[in-house]
Amino acid sequence: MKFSKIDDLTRPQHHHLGKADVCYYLGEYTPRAGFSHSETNDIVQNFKKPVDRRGKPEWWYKEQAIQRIAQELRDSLNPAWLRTATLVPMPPSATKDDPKHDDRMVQVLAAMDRGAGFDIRELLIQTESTEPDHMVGESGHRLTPEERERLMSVDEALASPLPKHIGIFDDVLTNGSHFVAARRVLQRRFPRIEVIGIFFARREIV
Amino acid sequence: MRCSCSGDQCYAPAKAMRQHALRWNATDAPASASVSPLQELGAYESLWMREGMTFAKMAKLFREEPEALPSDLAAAGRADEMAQKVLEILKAAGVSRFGVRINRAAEYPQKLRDAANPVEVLYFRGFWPLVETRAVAVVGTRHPSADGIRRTRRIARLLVKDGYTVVSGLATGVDTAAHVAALEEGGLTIAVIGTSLAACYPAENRDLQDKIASEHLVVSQVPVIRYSVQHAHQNRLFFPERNVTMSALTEATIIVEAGETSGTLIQARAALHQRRKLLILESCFQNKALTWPERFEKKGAIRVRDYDDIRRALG
Repeated sequence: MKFSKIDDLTRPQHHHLGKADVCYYLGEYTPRAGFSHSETNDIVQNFKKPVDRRGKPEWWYKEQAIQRIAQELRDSLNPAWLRTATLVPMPPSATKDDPKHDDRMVQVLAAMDRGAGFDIRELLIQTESTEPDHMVGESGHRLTPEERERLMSVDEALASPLPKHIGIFDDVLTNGSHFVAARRVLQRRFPRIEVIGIFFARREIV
Repeated sequence: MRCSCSGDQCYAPAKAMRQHALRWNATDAPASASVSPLQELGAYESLWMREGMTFAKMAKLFREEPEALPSDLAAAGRADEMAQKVLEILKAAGVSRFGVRINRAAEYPQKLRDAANPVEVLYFRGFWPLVETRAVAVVGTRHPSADGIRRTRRIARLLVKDGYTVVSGLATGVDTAAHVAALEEGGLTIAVIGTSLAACYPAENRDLQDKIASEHLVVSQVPVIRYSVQHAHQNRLFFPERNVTMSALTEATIIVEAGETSGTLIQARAALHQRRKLLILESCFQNKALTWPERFEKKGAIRVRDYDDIRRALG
């Protein structure tokens, strides 16, 4: 499977992204009330299962989704890039001390690595828990990139050695606010380093 | 990967392959073979502007270049210009939101590769995951009898009750009856149209096409620019082509009623070729003026007398 790149055709669906934002995705996630089955939709929904389901039979599906996403990303990324890039998981909406904390993207990157020795670093820290976008609902307030930026910082303990280029990994590209905030925070700290987004899927609104 | 001559007519397979391998190894881009949907649709439209281009010729081009994307085969500057033109044409036709599927990139359905000349690029409006539902095509003549309409509506309704998506081609007659009955039953429906997304045929189905596009799924393989510039009689050649794609997208085709020279028979041939189930209503066999029902039955089509037969055949 080839990665697709966000371009003028798809960017309007991710309205916080600007022309300079470089984002790649493998699939399209198309939520719809009442009916939402597709292979990509099922993987994404299983992947997002909240952590309070741990230990229940359905948790197996989440673990399968983590493995599947890792496999697909690794198969489609350029091996030469993977050897030199710093791979950064998008921090989850719940902070590490929050019982809702879900390190699923960290697990994806670990599963991608499997002894390859990729430069995987949790460079971004979320300083305060936020409501996940998919739980906010239609009328709720979704945080802007500026608001998200104020809740993110770089973990200085991991800032060295200087990254050559950075890929921020996330499951679904929605309105782009997480990515833009994360890119700005990283580029403030590493001004000359290219920061791109790598997503398992982009969200398509019908 | 594009040949260095950049000529729109230059296919240069061996050279292109070598350059592709070189590009992958030499680059440090995260996804050196990534796809820009807009660029690819522009390139595809550009290839379609070549004189005498057909779906068979297009498929041959890509068979000769199995790793190629449309942008590898078309001249670069032209593709951008074509992409902008497509956006303009669709916008002028009131189509502001649409998507594309490109072979080997996001969500392209593998089942399309069962077609003899599989399409590399598909346009769509609506809810794409419908393509992954269990889907059955209900097709037939544009001039059905009253019984033909009644049977179409009944089959579509019962398919919906059994959880199938009803697929048809939005033409007059059987197609329209199938879509409308599926919608009335609260089911899912896909229209595989024989025009570009900017057009509608017949014109009186405009509202139906828009309704299916906004709540269900409309699929078109027809190049937008070529369709807009060539004569209507040339555009008619796109209609049977979409029947091949409709068959590939579904697990079975049910023929309700069709004459000896009906375009529906293109879909019958395609279904058998693609190893899809082909179901023919008993009433077609009863019409002694027709020879095609027996002919297709001998080749593997299933004769169905009532809906239970259809249900059994679908398994």
